[in-house]
Amino acid sequence: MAAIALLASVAAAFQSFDIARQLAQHSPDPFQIGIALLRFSGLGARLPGDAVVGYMSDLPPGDRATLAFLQAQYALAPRLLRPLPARTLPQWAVGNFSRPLDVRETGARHGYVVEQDFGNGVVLYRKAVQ
Amino acid sequence: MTGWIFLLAAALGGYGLLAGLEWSRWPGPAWLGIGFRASLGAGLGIGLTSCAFVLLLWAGLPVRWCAGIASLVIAMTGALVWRRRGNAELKSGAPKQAEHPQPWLWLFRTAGVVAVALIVAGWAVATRASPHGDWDAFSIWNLRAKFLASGQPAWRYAVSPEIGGGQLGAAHPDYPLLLSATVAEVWALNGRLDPEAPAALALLFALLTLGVLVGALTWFRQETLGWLAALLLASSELFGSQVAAQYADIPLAFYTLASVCMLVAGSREHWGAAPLMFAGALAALSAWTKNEGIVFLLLVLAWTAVRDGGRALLRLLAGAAPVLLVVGIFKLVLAPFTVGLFPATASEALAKLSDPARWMTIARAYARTFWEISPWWAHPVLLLALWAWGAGLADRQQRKEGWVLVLPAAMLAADFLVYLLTVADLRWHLDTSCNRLWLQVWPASLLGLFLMVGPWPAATPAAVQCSAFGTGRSAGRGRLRR
Repeated sequence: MAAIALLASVAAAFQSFDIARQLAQHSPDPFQIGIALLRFSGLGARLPGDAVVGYMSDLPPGDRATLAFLQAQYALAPRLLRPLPARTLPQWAVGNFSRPLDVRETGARHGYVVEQDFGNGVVLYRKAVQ
Repeated sequence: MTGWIFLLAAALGGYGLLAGLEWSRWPGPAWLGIGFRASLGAGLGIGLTSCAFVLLLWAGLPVRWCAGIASLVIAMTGALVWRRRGNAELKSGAPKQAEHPQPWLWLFRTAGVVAVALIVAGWAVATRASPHGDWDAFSIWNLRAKFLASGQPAWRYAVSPEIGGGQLGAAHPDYPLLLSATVAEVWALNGRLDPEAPAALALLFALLTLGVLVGALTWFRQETLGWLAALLLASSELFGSQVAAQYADIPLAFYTLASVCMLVAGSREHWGAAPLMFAGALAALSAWTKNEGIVFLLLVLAWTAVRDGGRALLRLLAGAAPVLLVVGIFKLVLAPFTVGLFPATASEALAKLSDPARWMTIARAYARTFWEISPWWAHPVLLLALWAWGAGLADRQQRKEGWVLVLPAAMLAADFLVYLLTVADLRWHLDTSCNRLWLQVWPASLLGLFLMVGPWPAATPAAVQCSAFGTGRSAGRGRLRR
């Protein structure tokens, strides 16, 4: 009785480990946080550490847009991202785009001018002087 | 490295604080007693340090000072208590309890070590693949840790309604801060936001949970049962799959288990002051870990009041008070008020409560989660039934300690009610949280279940009579009861 309990538990522990190993092998970093950290590393260095930063994206509201926002928020924290449009515009804003588009025009729509395009869909904006 | 040294100091402080528990009467091998006390103490010390850290941040101190002072205060308090109570304990010369032989114990220990090694290996493989953890880790717990670690003034973003872009369920600024604050302390003192810190803390809490489970059953029953319970926990998919996730559910499971363990100790001590105060502190730390922990704390308070009256309740509250103060400040002053998941009107709530389809959907999800705890051939129900068939049940007096199962059962019932009332999509809500809610109560449930089965081999009557771990006075009372 004790032997059966021991054997079954240890076998289940091996199976649990095997599931973890297979998951790790087949879908490493499923939310692509490592890639997000790389994409935003250059832009993050240009921003004050405690800034509130505007956020704009080309993705329509939905799961993909939420994930893209959370990736950017995690990569740029401790800066706080504020989705645009917003009642008060922060001095800086970040563009997080999934496809090529007119980044100047997108920024201008929200009252921002391009400060630097880092490529790969990452753009730093500065608030336009009124 | 500095962060880990200070965290170790906090853990040692917790170890010292536990000096009031009459360790000289520990019934098992000394190394296991030290491991059990270290597991309980580390959780206690780390939790209390996170409370002090947030209070100091709120007071306006620089973040590195907050982390350093918080750890040192807990370490020094623990050292003072240990010096006073530990010396008194040594002088008391309380006799160590007799151990009765447990054949094949080495096999249980070996199997336990193998299972723990597999947990660590699974964690290592998963962490190498996803060093930043799963969804809630980067969107809630570690994100808020980054804010806290940045110090003045950006730490307040951790409780800002704006995080997560202001979306419901994206970042939860109202969630308690134990885990995020602990990660932030290590990050602040290390001077860098390395992903290894939250990953290592996730593993630490998993190991502490296993340590408390083995130790508690060695304390209350026999070491063999402790290792078997730890094996069932470590081998369950429910537990193993969450170790590398870097969520707060395993820390909550730890505090729930530790508090239940102290409640059992308190009942054996005829609701003596020390174990009850620790039970209160640990239950309050569960409230400081996740909102579900607040429900657990309320259940513990209500159950103690009903079971043993106002005096026991006051002792529990005395232990919980320092942490409750911090939870109160956090909930009433710092965190934004969120209605979140619940209906806005009573009629909407009644409509949800009276919908049989919702009851069925939730019941099915509960049954599926329970079924998927482990593969069928290693399912705890099967193995426990097998064990009970071979070793029998605990004697009638000991079986009564299975009352602790009321607490995890009531937690699951409260969760069931939340699912009935939720305004979020029910299927999404169940898919994303049901297994973790079961995980939160799983170690405490295993403790309760193993308190009800018999030891193997059956203890001699003399050994059973000596099984109370506490003062000679209370052990005598135990004998009288029988």
